[in-house]
Amino acid sequence: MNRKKFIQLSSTLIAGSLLNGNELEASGIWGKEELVILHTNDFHSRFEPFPSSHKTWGNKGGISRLKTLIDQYRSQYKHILLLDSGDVWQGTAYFNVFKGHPELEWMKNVNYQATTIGNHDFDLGIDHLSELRKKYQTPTVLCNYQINHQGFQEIIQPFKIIEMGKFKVGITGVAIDFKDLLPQKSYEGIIYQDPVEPLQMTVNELRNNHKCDLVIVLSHLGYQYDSDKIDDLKLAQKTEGIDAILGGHTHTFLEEPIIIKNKTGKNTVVNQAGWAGLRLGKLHFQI
Amino acid sequence: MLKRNIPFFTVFLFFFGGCSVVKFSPKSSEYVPVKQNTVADSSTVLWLSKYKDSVEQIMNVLVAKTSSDLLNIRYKGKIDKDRSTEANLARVCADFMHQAAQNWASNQPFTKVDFTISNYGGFRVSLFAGDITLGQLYELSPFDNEIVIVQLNGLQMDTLLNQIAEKGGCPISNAQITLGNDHWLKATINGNLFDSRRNYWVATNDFMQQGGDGFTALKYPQKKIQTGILVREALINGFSQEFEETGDIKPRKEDRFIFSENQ
Repeated sequence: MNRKKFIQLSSTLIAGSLLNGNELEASGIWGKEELVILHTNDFHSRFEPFPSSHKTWGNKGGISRLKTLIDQYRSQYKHILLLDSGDVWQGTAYFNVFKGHPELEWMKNVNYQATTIGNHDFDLGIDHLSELRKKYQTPTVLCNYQINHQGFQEIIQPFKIIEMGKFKVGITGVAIDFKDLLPQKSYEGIIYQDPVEPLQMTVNELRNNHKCDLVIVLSHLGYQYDSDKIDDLKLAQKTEGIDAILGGHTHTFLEEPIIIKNKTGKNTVVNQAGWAGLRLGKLHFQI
Repeated sequence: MLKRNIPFFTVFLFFFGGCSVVKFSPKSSEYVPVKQNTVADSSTVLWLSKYKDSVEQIMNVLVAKTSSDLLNIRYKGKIDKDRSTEANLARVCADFMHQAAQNWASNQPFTKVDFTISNYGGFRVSLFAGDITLGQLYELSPFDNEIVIVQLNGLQMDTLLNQIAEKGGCPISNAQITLGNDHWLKATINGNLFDSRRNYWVATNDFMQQGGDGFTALKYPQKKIQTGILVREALINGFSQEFEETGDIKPRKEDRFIFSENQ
């Protein structure tokens, strides 16, 4: 094989690798692997199904059924992640009586691998939130708050890396601007930053320094606003290197995951699973 | 030939093996509904029972019954015009807050509360025809916010009315307001036309009073009185009292906001 032919052949193969990845993968030579992400958001202390009198969600939801589904997928797929996008508590008498202990105990029992913080998670104050997440070792990721509160600092990681088979997954989180949503005393010691820049820096670190090949963002910003307020759709467009944004806050029931062109024209998946444990989001990735 | 194939294979490996490309599989990605026929996991049922028993003692107490659905809908702009005859939970709740604030104020140096304002975010679930339990009222009003009464001057009231207009309305009691696009046009408070020369007593929740939900007009009032009454307590008392007196909860179908065609 002469040099010219070799270059031609390699170019064809390189182009082939970029254009026909599916066909090559389907050949099975390189051993395709699958990772399944299960995700929830805005659980709001809904341990029980909605009462039968409820016109929309009567008899739906409930953690005992949710657990069955999670177990089922865990036995079906080898590589599986369970993630949550915030507002785990506030909404039923469970929270008024037990102040958030059962919510975080449930998350620990069912082994959520990463979560982020929602505005209602601050409802009993930042000290309480920090204390409980420490007690239940809730894995919490968040990259857009400047933190000057020791307890909160202890429970927050900017990102988490999980390796599963061929997958190296980087997970980070973005939380909402609490101004107008929370009384000031409940978030003393933290400053909200617009998420675009800190998130991009975190994603770059996950991609470039840690060589993650799947980057997931847990977001409590909300799915979509008519105003220029940042939301998951805008965030997807303004960033790069993110495979999926798993949202919350707006309690949005999406019929299917939304695919957005990011800053460089590549795809970012945006998803949200309603609220109250009524749905489990399920995303499949292949490598 | 074999020798020349080595660099080719290295290049091949570099592009196919060294750089992992993750692909999203839209076809298999879906949401999984948690339905009635999904089998309950018995160990989770058992775990939950240690909390459930004490919570149910609170949840299952009957407070009232309603013959109509009380819907938690955010009526805004034209939607309010079209649907204003539906029973509206926000109006019921605002009325019960108003009653509680008025009762409290009647034992104080000033004698009345002119009107009451809340935010939609303060009321969280619909109440459907049938029993209303204490647990449902905790779900309706889960926050431990208390009722505060503030005195606003005419200018502050004008700002407040405009902030209500910008939001396209909010739960109010003892007032009727005509709204343009983003400003108020006419306000009747406690049966009288708004008078910008006088002060008004406004009952609200402490979250809003501190500027929550963007109601900054309430933040620096002339006077501020904390009642110590939780919004939830006011609702529990309101529902229980009205049911005791009338055997039902009045659905409140009347307009509290009028949306003007002429801006």
